[in-house]
Amino acid sequence: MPPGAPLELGSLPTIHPLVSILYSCGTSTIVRLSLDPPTMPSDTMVRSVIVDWVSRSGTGALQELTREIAWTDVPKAITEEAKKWKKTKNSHDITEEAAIGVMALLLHDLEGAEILEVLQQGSGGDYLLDIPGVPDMQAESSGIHTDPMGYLSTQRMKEKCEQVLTKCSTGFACVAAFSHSPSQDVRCKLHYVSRSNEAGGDSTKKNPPAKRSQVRKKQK
Amino acid sequence: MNATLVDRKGIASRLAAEGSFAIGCGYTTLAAEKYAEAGKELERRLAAARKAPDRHLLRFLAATQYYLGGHYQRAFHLSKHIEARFLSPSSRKLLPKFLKDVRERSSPNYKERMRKSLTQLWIAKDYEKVLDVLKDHQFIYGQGPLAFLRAVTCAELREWKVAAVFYAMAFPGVADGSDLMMMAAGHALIVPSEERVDEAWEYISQLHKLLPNAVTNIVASITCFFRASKATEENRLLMHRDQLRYFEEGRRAYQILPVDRQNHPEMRDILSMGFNAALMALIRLGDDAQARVMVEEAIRFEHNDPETFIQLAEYAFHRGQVSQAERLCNLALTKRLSNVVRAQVLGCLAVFQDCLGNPRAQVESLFRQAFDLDPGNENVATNYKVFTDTVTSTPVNGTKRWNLDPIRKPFDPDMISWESSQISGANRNARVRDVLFAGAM
Repeated sequence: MPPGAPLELGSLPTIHPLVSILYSCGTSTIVRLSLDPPTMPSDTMVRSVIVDWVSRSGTGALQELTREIAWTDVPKAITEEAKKWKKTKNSHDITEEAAIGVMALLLHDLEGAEILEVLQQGSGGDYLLDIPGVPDMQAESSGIHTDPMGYLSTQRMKEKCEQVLTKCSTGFACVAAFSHSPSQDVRCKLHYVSRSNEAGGDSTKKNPPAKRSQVRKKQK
Repeated sequence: MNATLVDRKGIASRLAAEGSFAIGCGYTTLAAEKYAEAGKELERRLAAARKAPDRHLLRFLAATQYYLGGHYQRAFHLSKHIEARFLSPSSRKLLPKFLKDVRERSSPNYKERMRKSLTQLWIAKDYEKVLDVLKDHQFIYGQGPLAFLRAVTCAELREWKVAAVFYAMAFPGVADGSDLMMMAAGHALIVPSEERVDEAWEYISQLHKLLPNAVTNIVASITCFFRASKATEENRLLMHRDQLRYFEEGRRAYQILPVDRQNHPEMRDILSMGFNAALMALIRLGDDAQARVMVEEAIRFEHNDPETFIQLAEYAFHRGQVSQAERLCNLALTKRLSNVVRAQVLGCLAVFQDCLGNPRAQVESLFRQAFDLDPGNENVATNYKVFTDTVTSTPVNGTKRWNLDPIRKPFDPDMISWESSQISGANRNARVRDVLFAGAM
């Protein structure tokens, strides 16, 4: 992908071929990025997302970066259905599905991860990841419709970090707020967490030395 | 054990995703099929599973798919055999609520209970809540009635575009010109009376885009007329041209409707309104030739409607074609008229005959006949007063002194007596309640 190119929702079937995230979460992602909140111009096809990223291979330091998410290559049926969504699906479900859509794009872009499985409702709501060169790990995601001061995201992130570590020793926690702070940006926290560094209350610490992912190698 | 092990190829996951998408689209029939397939796929895995934790997780997952697809009996049957002790802690935690929900929804009175609850919400005008309940209980109605209920509810909330989308989903199997089609389009006729013409246009243009047929074309033409009435001079002409284009499309589609739908009173009322509005548009456009053609066609359509004759007579009168106006009034008098309308026509005829220079006694006689039929008719009285006070001779070009307001009224773009709110709104709530109760259309 060329630098700066938007992350395309339509690429989800390619980057996560084992799961149907585009169909299960694509429309909700479009709704939350363009319709509610806030209402964007009707021809909006791309939205910037500010990412607070703690990488798996980094020092544990938080990096802030910006990615654009686009839905220009999404099948027309998915975009056209968006106007019905708020009337047919619970707001909470839309937000959670949208968070999965955002997380799926960021996990692949930033960590080279592929989601192997999205568990069905009633089975825990976690996602199994494959990152080349490292053992499978899990990811937890959550969405927030509006977080006027940013506190909700921070609190939710703590919960998700703890939650993901109850199931595995390492993993990712992701919280997407679709209207964050007074600026009403879309902001997504994507943190790598490791149980070995959980003591002391900070669960987003540097990972023990691990194999570099093939994606990272390719990038180099 | 995780889901990858029970759904290695992601087949159930893909089917469930498609089911979820279909639910969001409101395609509940498709959703039910997809979730049923997902459930069956997991049951196939269940048949091959050896270990108890695998079997019980698969059973739970399969029951979940059936539940999400509205197959509550199947979900109930499967869930009876799930043993919590074999589930992982996280799955076990979810089981009690799931079992409770399955029990409730598989009970024989579930649908009836939910429909009653929705009916109460509808009566209480808690429309947001109606939509919320339908989000959680999509399968208590068939796909068509569900879309219909969402449509009427969104219309009540004035969310016009999405209302149009749901109406279009409710109608694939319903013929053009049907009661429900007229009811759907009728919203656009009610809204302008509340000074919300733009909303009406937003709605009917979307509905027309999705369902281009006789009803939507004719109603779109009427709505264009309303818009034109409020537009600037330049835009007004463009809107009238759009109006006439929609009207022609609508009339063409009307011609191929089944006879019973063509003759349906509401359908005829809508077309009659379309004629009135189209006539006014042509007059505004200065196209006298087409205006005359339109009136003749309106008369052919409503050959028993005296109002059409009166309109034509008024049109002719104001263009100096007084003989033509007189002829049309005489034609109107051959129809079956109420006393009030007959008095009105006689009063007009008296004026026209006076303008034509007919004998004073003949004119006087017409006025008297009008008074006999409707003694309180103020307009006839006003004209009679003009006649007795000022008329000593009867110049043909003396039309301006006469008060013809009563028959001008149907021509006034901002005063057209749109009975559409009565036509389309009167039985609407009763119909919605019927659907809510019965769940059938």
